[in-house]
Amino acid sequence: MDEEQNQQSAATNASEGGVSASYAWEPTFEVPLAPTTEEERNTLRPPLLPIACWRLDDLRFRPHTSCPLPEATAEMKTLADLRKKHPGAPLSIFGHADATPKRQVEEPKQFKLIIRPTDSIWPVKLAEICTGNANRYKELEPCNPHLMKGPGQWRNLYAGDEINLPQTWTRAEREKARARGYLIEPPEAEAKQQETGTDEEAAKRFSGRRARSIYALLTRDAEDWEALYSQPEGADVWGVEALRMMLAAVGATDELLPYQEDALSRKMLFLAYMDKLCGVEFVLQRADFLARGADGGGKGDYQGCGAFNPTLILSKEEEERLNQSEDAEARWVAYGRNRRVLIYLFRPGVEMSVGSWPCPRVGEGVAGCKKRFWSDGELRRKPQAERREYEKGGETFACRFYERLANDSPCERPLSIKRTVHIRIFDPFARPISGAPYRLTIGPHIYENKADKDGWAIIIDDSMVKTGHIAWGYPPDEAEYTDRHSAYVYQTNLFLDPDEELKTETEQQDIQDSKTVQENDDHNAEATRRRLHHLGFNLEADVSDNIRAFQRVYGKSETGYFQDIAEELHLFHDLAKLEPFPSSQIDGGNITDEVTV
Amino acid sequence: MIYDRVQPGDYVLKIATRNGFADYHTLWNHPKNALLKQKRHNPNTLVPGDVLFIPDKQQRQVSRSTGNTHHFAISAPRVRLRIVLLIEGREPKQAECWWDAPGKNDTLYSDGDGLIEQEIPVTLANGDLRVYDPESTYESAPMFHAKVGYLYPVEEPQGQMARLHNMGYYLGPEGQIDPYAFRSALEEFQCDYGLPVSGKCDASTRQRLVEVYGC
Repeated sequence: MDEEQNQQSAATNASEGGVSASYAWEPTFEVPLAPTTEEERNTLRPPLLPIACWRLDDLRFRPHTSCPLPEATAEMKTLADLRKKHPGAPLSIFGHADATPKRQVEEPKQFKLIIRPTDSIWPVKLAEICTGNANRYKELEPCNPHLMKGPGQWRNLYAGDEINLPQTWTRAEREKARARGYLIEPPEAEAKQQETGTDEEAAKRFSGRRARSIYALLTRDAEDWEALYSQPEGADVWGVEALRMMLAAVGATDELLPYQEDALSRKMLFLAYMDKLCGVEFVLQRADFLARGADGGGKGDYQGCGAFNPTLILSKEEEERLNQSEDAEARWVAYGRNRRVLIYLFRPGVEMSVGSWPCPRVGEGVAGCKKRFWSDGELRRKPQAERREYEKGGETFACRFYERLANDSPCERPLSIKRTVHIRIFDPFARPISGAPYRLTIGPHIYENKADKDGWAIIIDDSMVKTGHIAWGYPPDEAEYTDRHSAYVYQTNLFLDPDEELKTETEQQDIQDSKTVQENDDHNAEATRRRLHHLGFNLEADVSDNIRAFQRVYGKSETGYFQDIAEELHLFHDLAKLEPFPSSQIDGGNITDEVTV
Repeated sequence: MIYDRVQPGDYVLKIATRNGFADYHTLWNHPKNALLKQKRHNPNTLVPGDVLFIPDKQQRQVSRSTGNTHHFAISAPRVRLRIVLLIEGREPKQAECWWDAPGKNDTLYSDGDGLIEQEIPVTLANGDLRVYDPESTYESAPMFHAKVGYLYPVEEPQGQMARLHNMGYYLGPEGQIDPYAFRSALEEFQCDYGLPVSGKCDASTRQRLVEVYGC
């Protein structure tokens, strides 16, 4: 199949977490042959080329793990559609990782917990939950300077805030916090000490685990998920939070403990969650895969390419900057696009014998991969003077066999979904700041510019991340503010789609039907909290207190119920028609003019 | 006595027939074609532009009585297409195919080694071979559009590319040499057959290519 044919790939379907595409080609080959009068022969064999592809991006997995997130439902639907379009097309799964530097084998010094959106937490409460002694909250202070306004003064804590637990707390004490369901823990923190082996071996294992996870998901192999759960490897620890996430996704309100302790219960949960992700109709058999499930190790059906086939390799200079960066996550973010799972669908009837498939099993080392490297494969893997991207002909794949399969696949190109972000910038008294200089950070992108005369900052962004940060100030030529323009005087975190979680939930009508009033209220409260946060009403821990502050400023009855301000919030926030504060409020001086998170 | 310049799709037997020779050996073994024979090795893989010496036809006199009917038979080699058909990833096995060429349609069955044989008229230039696969639909079954006589010698890059293409290695545009795809095909072939992976079609690679491809 030539490039021109490939570029005609039809029906490319991109979503936030992946891509699927059908190729517009037919298995027709023009073959020059030699006739014979003797015994010579010609050999004909169709090339092994996919007819369709599907990709699931890193953001559809729990960070650092092989556990798919509930949001992957959208991409599983596209895969189901692709299968319907190509009935009988056998599949093969390829996991990809990135080249992360070898982690130090060391005991973690801090245990990091993250506040969930629906929690409200306070250090005193946290200390009481964990240790049974509220006074021990003081032990939290030295390791959480980022959450302190000053010595002994905690700022308000919000969803997404990270709290470091002190080493003086025992593991059992930390577990208490988790068992009560207040906090979630990034698995990386406690898993560091388990990571062994070389970088490329670890990357292959991780990519193999992701491929295996998707294979098990599609074939409803709860045993395989149980193996991934009970045999964590490196940072890929499913852990209690994966169970909690699954329970929430299937709408169960059960206690967590039985699922932690009983493998059978866990498998039932896995199956229910798998059905949730794929839909009960979309189940594949082992015989639907390229090697027909003939190999117990999945050879031919799923494999991990490790870090050998990235779609992005940064330049030497960029790599050096990353190496010198103290931000451990910087590399993870920079190479995010390399972590992906690809599924290729082949022509119906194609069946790969295990012996003729070159990729090693997920449980095998990298030697088999290297046998299939380009003759300059090692050179390809190294950063060079310029950054290289696969879709720009950057020759980033070290494995020749994989590159031949990918063959300029539309699923190996980055998403090109762009969105327009509209932000209107106000001063603390809700007056638009004409020409306000701002610095907006969304994912890896930083936008520095000036708002227009009405205070609007309009950005076209393609990063697909859900949160951001904005800092702003006054234009230098604004006489009224000449003493205040030296820096960005205000800043706040942003929820780029305040209803984001609500949307995904409401799209699932069956979930919606089973929701309790309390759950719906929780979601509405969260959406309200986010909007109020953007408007600067974020000083109180409890959303109802922020609602009251809003009502107080705008001269309304202080009820604390979000239903009572829904209309104003829609007008003020969503339509950006924010009313300036009443003059009595400005004159009264009881409104802070710094909105800081 | 003339020289015939090889046209696309020509092979020695076809040229011999065109010039009225029943036995192509008369041309191929002629001393004036020794250099071409040494260069091309195989009379069925020539390159357009090659020049073949066509000797004068030898008259043969035969005495027969009048008043009777006499039959004269000319012994001429039969031209065949011999194809080993492999399906991606599988061991060779019996397969059912449909051969569709001007003047002849036929169902063919490959043997246990995947071999299909089909006798063809020397004038045949094109034919279609569609592979039936129980798991494939008609549309998804592979179809090979055969161009008879168009395979170049392995010494020529076009000949190397064509063999790699026919065996599923070369994924570049058909009939053209894309250097990147060509290198990919060569390296993959070398890797499959235990040759040093260089991406260069050296003598040992060419020799192996002929052995594996069959000519």
